[in-house]
Amino acid sequence: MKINRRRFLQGSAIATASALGMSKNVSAMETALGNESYNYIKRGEKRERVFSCSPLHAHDNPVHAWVDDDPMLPNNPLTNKSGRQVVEISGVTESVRSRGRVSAAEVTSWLQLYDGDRVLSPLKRVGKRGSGRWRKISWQQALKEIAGAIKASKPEEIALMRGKDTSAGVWERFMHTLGSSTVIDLDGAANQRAAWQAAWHDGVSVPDLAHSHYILNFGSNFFVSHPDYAAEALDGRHLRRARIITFDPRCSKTAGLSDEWVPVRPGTDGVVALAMVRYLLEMGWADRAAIKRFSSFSAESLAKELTKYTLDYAAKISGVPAETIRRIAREFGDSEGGCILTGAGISGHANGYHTEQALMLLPLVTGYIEVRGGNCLPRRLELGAIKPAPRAPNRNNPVKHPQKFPVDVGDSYSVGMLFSYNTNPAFEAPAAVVWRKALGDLSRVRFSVAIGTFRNETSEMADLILPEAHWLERNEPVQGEGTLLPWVSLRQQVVPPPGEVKELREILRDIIHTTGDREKMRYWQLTDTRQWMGQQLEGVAGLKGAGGWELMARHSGVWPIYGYLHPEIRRIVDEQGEEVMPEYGRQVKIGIESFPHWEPAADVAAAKSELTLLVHDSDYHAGDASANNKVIMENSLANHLHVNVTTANRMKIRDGDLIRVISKAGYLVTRAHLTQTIHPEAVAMHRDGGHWAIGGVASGEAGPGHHNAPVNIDADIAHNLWWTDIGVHPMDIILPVFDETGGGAATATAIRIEQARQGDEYGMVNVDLPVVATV
Amino acid sequence: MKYLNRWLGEKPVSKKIRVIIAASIGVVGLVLIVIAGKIGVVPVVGVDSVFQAEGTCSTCHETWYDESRYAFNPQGNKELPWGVTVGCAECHPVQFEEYKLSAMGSSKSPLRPGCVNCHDNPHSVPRWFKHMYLADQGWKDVQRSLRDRDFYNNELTPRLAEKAREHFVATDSKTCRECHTREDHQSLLKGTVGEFRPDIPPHQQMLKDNLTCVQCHQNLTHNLSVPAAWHGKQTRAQQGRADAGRVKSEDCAACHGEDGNSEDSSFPSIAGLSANYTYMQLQAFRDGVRKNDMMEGTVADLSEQDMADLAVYFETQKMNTTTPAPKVLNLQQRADMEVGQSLYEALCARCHGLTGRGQGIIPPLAGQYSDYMMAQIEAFKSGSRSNHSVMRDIVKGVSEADLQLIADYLAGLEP
Repeated sequence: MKINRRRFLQGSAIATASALGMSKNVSAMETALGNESYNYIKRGEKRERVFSCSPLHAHDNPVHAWVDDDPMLPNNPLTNKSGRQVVEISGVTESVRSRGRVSAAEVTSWLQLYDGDRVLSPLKRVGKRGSGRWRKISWQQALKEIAGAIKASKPEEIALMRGKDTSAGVWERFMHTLGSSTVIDLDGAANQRAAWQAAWHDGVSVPDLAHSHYILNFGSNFFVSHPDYAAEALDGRHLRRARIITFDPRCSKTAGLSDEWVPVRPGTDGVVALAMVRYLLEMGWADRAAIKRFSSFSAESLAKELTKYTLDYAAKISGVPAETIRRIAREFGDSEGGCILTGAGISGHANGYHTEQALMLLPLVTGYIEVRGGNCLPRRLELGAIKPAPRAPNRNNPVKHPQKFPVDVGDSYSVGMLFSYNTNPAFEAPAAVVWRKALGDLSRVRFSVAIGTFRNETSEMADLILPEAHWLERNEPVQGEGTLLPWVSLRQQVVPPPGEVKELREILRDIIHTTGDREKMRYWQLTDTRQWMGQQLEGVAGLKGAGGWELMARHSGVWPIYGYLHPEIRRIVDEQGEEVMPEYGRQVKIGIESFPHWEPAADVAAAKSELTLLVHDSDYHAGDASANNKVIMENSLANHLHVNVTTANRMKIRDGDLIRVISKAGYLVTRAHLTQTIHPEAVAMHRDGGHWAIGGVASGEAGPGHHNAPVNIDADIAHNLWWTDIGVHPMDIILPVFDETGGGAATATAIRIEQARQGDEYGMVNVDLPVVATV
Repeated sequence: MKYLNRWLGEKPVSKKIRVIIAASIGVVGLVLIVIAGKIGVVPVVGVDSVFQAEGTCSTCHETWYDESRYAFNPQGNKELPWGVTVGCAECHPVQFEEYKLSAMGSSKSPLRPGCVNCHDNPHSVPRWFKHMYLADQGWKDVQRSLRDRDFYNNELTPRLAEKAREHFVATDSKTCRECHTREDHQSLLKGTVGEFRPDIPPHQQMLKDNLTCVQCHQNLTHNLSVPAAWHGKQTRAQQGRADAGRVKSEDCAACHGEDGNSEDSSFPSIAGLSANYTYMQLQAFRDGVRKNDMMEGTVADLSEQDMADLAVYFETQKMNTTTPAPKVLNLQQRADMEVGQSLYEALCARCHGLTGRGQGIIPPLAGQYSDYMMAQIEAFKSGSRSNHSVMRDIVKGVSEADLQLIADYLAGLEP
């Protein structure tokens, strides 16, 4: 049924009225505190609620998906059928992860369900890898080709390249079934994870932000990348007057919202941390017992190692005044419960590993480890196993440094069959052009299959693309992360997938079944993904006794239920109204192999004529998952190069000038955006600009000027996509420089800026591949 | 012309001019009448009010207009009041929500009334303008209601409810009677909740005392507001005296508590029940319509005045929650609560109100003991409580487990 003027007015009138009036019991003219949704067109009928869990950010987030079966809704444009459709996403107030909050990307993620650029059937490459030419094939043919490639490869040559693992162990099961342990894990910041893993045997630390009195943030834009941490930090500020101090060369959104932004030279955070530690030891403010308890160091051995890191030394290197370093060190030590946060800005340098470990010394010497407000070990509830489970192969993962894939593949290990999932290094990895080269090389990657809801620049380099269900269309258990109160949740199939789209579990099952190997097939007796999900959740300790996963799926979406959301203090409180607190005091022993002395980062500009280009994630975005989302794109600024005003004046560059950004790898052409919010020795741009493969909104090939664009099935895109500047892709000109210990690639590079030359056009990227390869 | 001549008298005005003046006055008059008709001041044959014309007020107001749905049902009791722009819910969404879930709004009967079947004097645009912009209080009240729940619930809605009741009393509940007692409606009403039965004692009493429907049947549709104090003509029950009732309540206190809040789940809390309801139940025990050995013995010696005094006394008491619901619900409790709530909304809320706080003579259930409610359901089923056939019909098809969920849900609500 079409929306006419009368119905539109009905909708808008009721929406306004309902916003004023409809609470749970409609008892007053105000809105309820979440957990309800109404169909305004139907004058306030309650919508169907289905619990799910968003995988869009670093930590999954339990949500309600609200479903309408309203004949007045337009048909699903992908199937041209009416029926149940997801129309809203909202947060679960009982969730300790979010307490009802959802990010912009999550709120609008249901739009992607009906996106015309979705992959709806298996695609086979027609031209060369990366040529962008595809034809539809049947599942049967696709599976047959994959099974053939698997058979043609040795088990260890079968590799998985993935980002965040949202499969709840199913990928591991698949790889083990095939006898392979070759995983190129590109999730998160490699140096950070390696440093923490080596030091305290877990790749992450959870800062107890809500109970902290002092939050020292080094290079993390967590207000954008970790919405849950943002909420916790704001609670810390609100409830405990926590000060938030951000060290970052760029005034990120987080830095801007902090109490203090300390512009530090890129790659020098480590020396600042070491000077702070030295100062605290020198003044006798270090917790000597804690140092002994939590590490193999003593106060004396630390002091000895730190001799050269005076405040003046750190000031000279970092550009941060000695007085500022001293004051912050003292405030942190005095805070009676502070924590540190580290982010991509630290890990994304060639000295990231040691910098992370240097920063770790701050909570160590103050004793802010496993205490209220400090840095804690993560808490997890383990999911149950699906039985029978294949045995893990005897050989270890040959991929020591995943981010060095383009260098190592075909050399340290060979890849006969590559599966890629939830990752897009061909676009977002430093020196992305090298990744494309490696992925496109048939001799180094013999057969490649990408699985995803949308195409992306990495799947463009594959031989086959398999259509995967959107997260609102699949069944997966979720192991909670990021909180000190452990939890589990689930993704449920809110609506069925369109076309020939399948869930990941079904795809992997079908691949195994197509190999015809009965021994392997017995691990994949999957008929119903929900049943498998149930098996995994049923194995969560205590859940069965509490009522079982099915009750959780229908009535809470998350377990355990620790309490309810207090409407004033906005924390989860118990029956008596007391905040539910985590248990602290887990045993920690920080073991650092070699003392993390500071060394200059090889990726940072050394010459005076050079600047350091920093690339960072865009605000509001959730990576590829939101790249084709019109609402998020509309709210994202194009990634013009942020240049400090003083620097620009010196170089005679004006705001809006077309400029060349030149690295040793090549150059790109963009516009200058003059600002005070960046260190004079650095320039920055976000890396979500300039997509060419995900879809029409991301690549600027949709809207009024592109009549046949698939995504134009959405009338709002077809008529209202008013912006044309989608930004420039900066990752090709970043040189491939790695941290030798952590293996992480630097996301910074030394560059020069000059006015654009004749013939330069905005968006142009030109890279000298042999030069990059040499580097 | 005659009046014109009289007015002009002997003035030197020619006949031709006099005709022109008369014609002009006529034309101006006609124009004024048409304008009056257009803006809805008076009805004018052949002139449609602009408020109902396409593209004016109806642009928005019509968006809500759905004759079969809610605004006005021509099969009901009367003609559509003149000049009414049929949209109501744009400005009264909460009231519309209440209406939808009420017994009348959710009725499947072809006689289901719309807003203006009961609100027979809906405001015209000039009246609305006057109230909102010229009067001191109107707009202020609306603004305050948007942000002050207590004011809206406890001050404004009771005040407006009282005003509406006064109107019903003044008109002798005309709009109720015109539908429920109209002869040609009886075939549709027979055997339904909407059937008026003059044979039952309260209605006989009402007819005898010359009372009107709204004195017992309050908050039938808009049942979320806190019931307002009754200031109109009193029923027999309402004529009781609370102080006398307090003295006479000693016998009741042993089971129902001194202030009507029972401490034993087999006895109901009767604090805060409407005087009409309590009075009616006492009569039912006395007359054997409702069977309970203990109560029959207790009421045997009560006079009509005693019953009224007790009814008024307990009405003035505040009911406490008998079984407060935990704020933190585990999975099973959450599931039970949600199922109980949805069953309650589907089966019971139309009469007992969305919040379980009752509607006039229909008793509140929120906060009552679930054991007691289950016992009463059993009594309805078995016929030992035969003074309400609707309850018997409603509960007979519902499973024991579902009824228990409903009772538990209600027990946890705030009275």
